[in-house]
Amino acid sequence: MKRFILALIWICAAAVQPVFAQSEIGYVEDFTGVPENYVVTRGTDTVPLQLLMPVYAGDLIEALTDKGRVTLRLVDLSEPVIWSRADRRTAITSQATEGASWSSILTATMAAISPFDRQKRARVLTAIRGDDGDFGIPLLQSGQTLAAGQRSISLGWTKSSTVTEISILARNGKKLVNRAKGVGGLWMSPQINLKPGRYRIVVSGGGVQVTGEIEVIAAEALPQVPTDLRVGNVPDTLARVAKAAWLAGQGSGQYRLEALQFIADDRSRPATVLTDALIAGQPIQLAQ
Amino acid sequence: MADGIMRAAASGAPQRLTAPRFAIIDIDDATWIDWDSPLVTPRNRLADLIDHVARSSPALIIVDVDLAFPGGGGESRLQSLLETYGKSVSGEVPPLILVRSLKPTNRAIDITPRETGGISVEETTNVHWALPSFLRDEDGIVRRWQLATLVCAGDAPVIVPSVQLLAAWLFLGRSGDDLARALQPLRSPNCDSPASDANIRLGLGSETGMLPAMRAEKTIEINTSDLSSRIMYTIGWQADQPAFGPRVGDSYKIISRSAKTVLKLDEGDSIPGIGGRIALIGGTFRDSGDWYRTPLGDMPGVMILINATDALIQHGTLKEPSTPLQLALALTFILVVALCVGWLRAPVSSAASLIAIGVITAASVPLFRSGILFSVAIPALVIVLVDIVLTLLEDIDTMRRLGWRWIFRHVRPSEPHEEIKR
Repeated sequence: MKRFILALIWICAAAVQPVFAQSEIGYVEDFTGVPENYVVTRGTDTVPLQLLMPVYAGDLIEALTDKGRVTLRLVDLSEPVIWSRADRRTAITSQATEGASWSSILTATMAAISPFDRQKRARVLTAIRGDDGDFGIPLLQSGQTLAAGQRSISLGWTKSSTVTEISILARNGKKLVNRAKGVGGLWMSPQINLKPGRYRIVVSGGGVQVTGEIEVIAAEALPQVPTDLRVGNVPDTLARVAKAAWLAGQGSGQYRLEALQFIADDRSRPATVLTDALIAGQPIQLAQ
Repeated sequence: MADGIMRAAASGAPQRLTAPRFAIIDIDDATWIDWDSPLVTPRNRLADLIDHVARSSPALIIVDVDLAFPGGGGESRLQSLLETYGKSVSGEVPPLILVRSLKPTNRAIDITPRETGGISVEETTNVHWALPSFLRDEDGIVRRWQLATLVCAGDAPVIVPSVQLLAAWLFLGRSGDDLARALQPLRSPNCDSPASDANIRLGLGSETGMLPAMRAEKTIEINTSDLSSRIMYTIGWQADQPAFGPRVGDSYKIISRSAKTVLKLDEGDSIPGIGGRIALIGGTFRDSGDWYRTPLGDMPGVMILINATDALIQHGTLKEPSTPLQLALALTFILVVALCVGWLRAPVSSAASLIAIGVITAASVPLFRSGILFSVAIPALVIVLVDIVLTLLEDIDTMRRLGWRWIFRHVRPSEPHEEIKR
């Protein structure tokens, strides 16, 4: 019986083995001052201290100044360890152990018979994060004015996951764009010939149909950008964004769709911010 | 049962030197707080992380950050870095795998990749797009992967490989073009046709198996069976650890470095210690929404990718044992149950049979580590049915002998010799 018990103890002890020397057991997370203020000894070699360098069991780290501090992240410790000049003769070690091939069977078996002792529960907040709201086209909520000419027209809508069908019709019913597919919240039409007059944009999506009235006028009749916005040494991207923002703030908002045309295909950060704001119907107010 | 075998097989025993090793560049809670908890990963910081990792000679880089959502700032920096990366000579930089999520369409192929706001990168020999695609069961546990997904991109059907499939393929020295050609049978003619259910078997040209008798060619099988879609989890997540998992040589299989610390490096510096590893840049911060339940407990998405990629590289997809081995195991089990039933009372034979199941399950753990899953579901069902039938037979005999008095618990049938005495 005694031999059986001793054999069982030996088998269980063999399930865990200490980590041997020259095993990587962590890394250098931070240090004060410059690397030259430290000496790292690994076996018989000296290695330079580096941020994020691995540390091995048995390494010695000596701070050459009293204020020198090295922050280490070591295996099996959830908090960082601070190494100072006082630790220069202390070899870095780890409490980690190495499992045997069958040790997991014991662990899994013990875990299976103790499910009622403790349960991990995590807080959940039952709300959607990053949701882009309901489908809508704030750009068409009020009549819009566009410049005439041979051009593409861009249009945006909220809830970018909604697939839409877009049609642009002249007053006589002639379809300049017939049921084009729009995805991703922003759409650009093919080149169409917009002559002065009245048009309708019909957008279907998310079970909803929205119709917007568009008045097309000669480009010269649009509000003209003031001279103080035409600064020669501003990059084109910023100039277009500035012009679009100015135009969107004019009148009672009837030029917002025209403003979008300046920046819809620009993926720079200022342009995309303004594009998103125009599509979402956010007010654009310029400081006086 | 498979979950239990996985937990039993998830040992810390050292692996062979050719086993893949991984490095996580972790956007952890400390990093996220340091960045003022933005809703979208700042693209300029992501660019810096990719730059540091690429200079550190990893085997390949996986960026497990969905690039579909615009905002966060720094798109132009990331765009510029990715364009330069894509134009680099093949072999000068490690392969880079990017991910983006999907959105619905109203066509027969009902998913399409989301636009990557401000980031436009074409696939080259150095830059690849993939999907971190997995399936969650009704109990909320992620047990299966989708190795390839058919999507409608623009107006054309495209097969997009999963991250784990592409990473395993590239790690084993194959080319992305070869994989794309091999997956073509899954493609349907257009976006309005249903997906093809073709079976695909990709040979990896090497063998797997712990014992010589079990060695077989490593293969990745798509659509061949439910078993081939099971993820073989072997390493659980350990938070706040710089290194964990089994050892490979003198280092741990997985090392983790906080992104906040990595960004303290000077521009142009490399990260020590990640050379030769598969590097993953991903978020484990609690607010990421990228946490899942698995047979080995809760883990972040980046850890599921590590388990999946490691399984594919080391074993290919899970297989059933060969027919002779299945027959041998089944016959052994049936013989044990028959002996127990023949010699022992019903409750005792049930207990003995359950112990036999436990022993066979433990014995099948080495098989599992070779990529072979032996199902004990049918033998377990046999035990339950045998127990029910034997108990029913005993009850019928007791009812026959007691008559109407059977309904009372305390009344027991008398022994035959007592009846003779009366």
